[in-house]
Amino acid sequence: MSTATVPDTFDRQTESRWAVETHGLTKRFGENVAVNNVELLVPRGCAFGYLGPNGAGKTTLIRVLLGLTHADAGTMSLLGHPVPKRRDLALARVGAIVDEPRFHGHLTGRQNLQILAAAREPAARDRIGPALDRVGILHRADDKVSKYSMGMRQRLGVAACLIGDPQLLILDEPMNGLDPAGMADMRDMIVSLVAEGRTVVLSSHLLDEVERTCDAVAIVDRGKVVRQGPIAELLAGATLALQVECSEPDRARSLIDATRIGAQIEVGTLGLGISLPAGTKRDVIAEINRVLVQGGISVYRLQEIQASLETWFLQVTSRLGAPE
Amino acid sequence: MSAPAPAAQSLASVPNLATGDHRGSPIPTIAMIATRFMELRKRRGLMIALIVVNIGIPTVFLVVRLLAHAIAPKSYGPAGGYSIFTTLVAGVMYIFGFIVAAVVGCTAGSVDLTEGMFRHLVVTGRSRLALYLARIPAGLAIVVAMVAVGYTIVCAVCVFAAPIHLNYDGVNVPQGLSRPALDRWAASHADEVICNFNYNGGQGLNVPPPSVPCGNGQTSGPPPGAIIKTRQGTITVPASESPAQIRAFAVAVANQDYSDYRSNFLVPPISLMVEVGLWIALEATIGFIVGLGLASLMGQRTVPVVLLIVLELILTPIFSSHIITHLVNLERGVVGVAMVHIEPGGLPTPFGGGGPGGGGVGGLIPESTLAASLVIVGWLAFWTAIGAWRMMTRDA
Repeated sequence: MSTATVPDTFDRQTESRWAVETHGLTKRFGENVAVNNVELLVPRGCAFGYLGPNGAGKTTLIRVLLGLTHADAGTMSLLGHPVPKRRDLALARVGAIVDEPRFHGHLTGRQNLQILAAAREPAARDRIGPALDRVGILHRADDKVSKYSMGMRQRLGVAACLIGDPQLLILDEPMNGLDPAGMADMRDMIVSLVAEGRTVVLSSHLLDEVERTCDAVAIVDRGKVVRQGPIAELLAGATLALQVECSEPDRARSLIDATRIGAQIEVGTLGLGISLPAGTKRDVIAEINRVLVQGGISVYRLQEIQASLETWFLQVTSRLGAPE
Repeated sequence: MSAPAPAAQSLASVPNLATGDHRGSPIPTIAMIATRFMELRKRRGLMIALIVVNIGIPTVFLVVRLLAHAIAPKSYGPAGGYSIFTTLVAGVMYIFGFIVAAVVGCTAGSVDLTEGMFRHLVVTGRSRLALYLARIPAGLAIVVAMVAVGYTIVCAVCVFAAPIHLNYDGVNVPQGLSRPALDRWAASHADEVICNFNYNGGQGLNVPPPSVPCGNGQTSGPPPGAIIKTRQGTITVPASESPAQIRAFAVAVANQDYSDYRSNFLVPPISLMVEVGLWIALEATIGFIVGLGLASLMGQRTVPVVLLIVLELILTPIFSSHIITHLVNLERGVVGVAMVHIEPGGLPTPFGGGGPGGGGVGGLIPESTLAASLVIVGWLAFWTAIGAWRMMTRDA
């Protein structure tokens, strides 16, 4: 992998506007291409969601970025520092949870963090207490990790990230094992970290959490990043959904089909479910209402269903996953 | 999680690697070594096993002997002394010290991986080589310290609880005599020497032992007038021998047995204890380094431990004493064989191939001290390199 094109000067590197930048990044396991020519740009100072179905290559990409495994092709940089050429510089201000956070079970949470702090700069040791306090397990800091619940280990993993005073946090499924209150705490923490100017890359299956937490997302499928950008912009490209409660649903469907609006219509118990192509103007909704009323259909309710990240994600991934 | 901290917390700049944070350096920091030491020291089961084998077994053995001797001194000999020292050192501390050190090494070499900490450590950006090398001083600090404590106890008991009288071949002999002094003592106790000391014939003793009374109506040697055959021909045992002849024979027998007598000094010499201590520490070091490298290579603990036990208890004894003509150089390359070759003189070899006083190499395959030293250095270097290489290239 060539990294020679990335400038090696400290000052110039830290000027990079991207917290994560990859070009043509590829990782293969035999015939299986887990990361396929990925072009990813994560802006600094935002919460960035990294989404994809199981087996899409999310964790593999994170492992490659962190130098846990090598890439087969492409270039990448973290905080402006090329990886793996300046891995030490690149990871100096990166904190990460990859997969399930695991620690030495016979040691306390504090002792585990002491081991990790020793591998960082001397000041990291002073951050252990505040980090444990911030994730809410200071009162259990001197208990053995073997006695921790899954959620507490998850919090300890976040504390392990924080002792490095990271500019970039990469969190792989950080909500795993957390109860609803813990998930809310985690969400608040991510927001607060971003408010401090840090960048958070969040890999998660919990699309609702990502939508509530992140400013931008990338969708990965079969190893490729298929969409990326601010959530608002991406959702603007989603199909428009309408729910219509009316009399005579079958006749209503025929009336709408006759308009050639291009809608996909499903007849349900409550009425019609209508999907309109992305970019459809709101005038079309009024046109549908007019056609139904003029056709003698009683319209009880006509509601635009707000496109969510989940519905958009399913649209994108199911379309891509369909047989060609 | 508690309420978010104030957003005023400032972001640190990337540390200047040239001024203190040697993140990419292969040299581990003191803090890394100290925390690694803590991680190993906190493994209760491992530490208990280490203490039991290196300290507990010799201590219990010595305490039992001390008690038995205190209760029934005529039935049980003293707890200390040279023979106890050599038995414990060669029979227990050498072999079990290696095995325990290997277990510690295998633990240090694999637990980060198996317990999921390796990934956290790699993400710090710290040099993987430094992460590996930090384990060596940390592990050795535990292993060598533990061996040293056990060995110190053995030495102390063997010195301070040594027998007051040396009973050699049934005769009470003064301890620590030089060869001339033993000769003089033998001349003045000729009958006891002739009756009780080992008589092997051979150089200077081509005559049958003189007939002297040995108690209970028995005498030594053939009866007067008897005709016996020797290598030089037929000899008729004289009717009687002069006191001077008897003394001369006793001195010759004592001379013949001097090396055997010397190895039975009551108290092991300080020089020997120092040499043996260093030798055992080296053996433990080898066990740790090889275990560390092998476990790092294999990414697990159990199989490397089994392999090293097989090496120490099965392969090394075989290769030490059985020459396989076409594989003799391979046999010389086994670290256990090399260690036996540099064993301090005066110890029996751990695997029974040698004997006291001969440097412990009798019956072993031939190997020079230089070659043995090179083999040991080679094993240490090879397994350190192979473990570090695997650590640096392994997917985390």
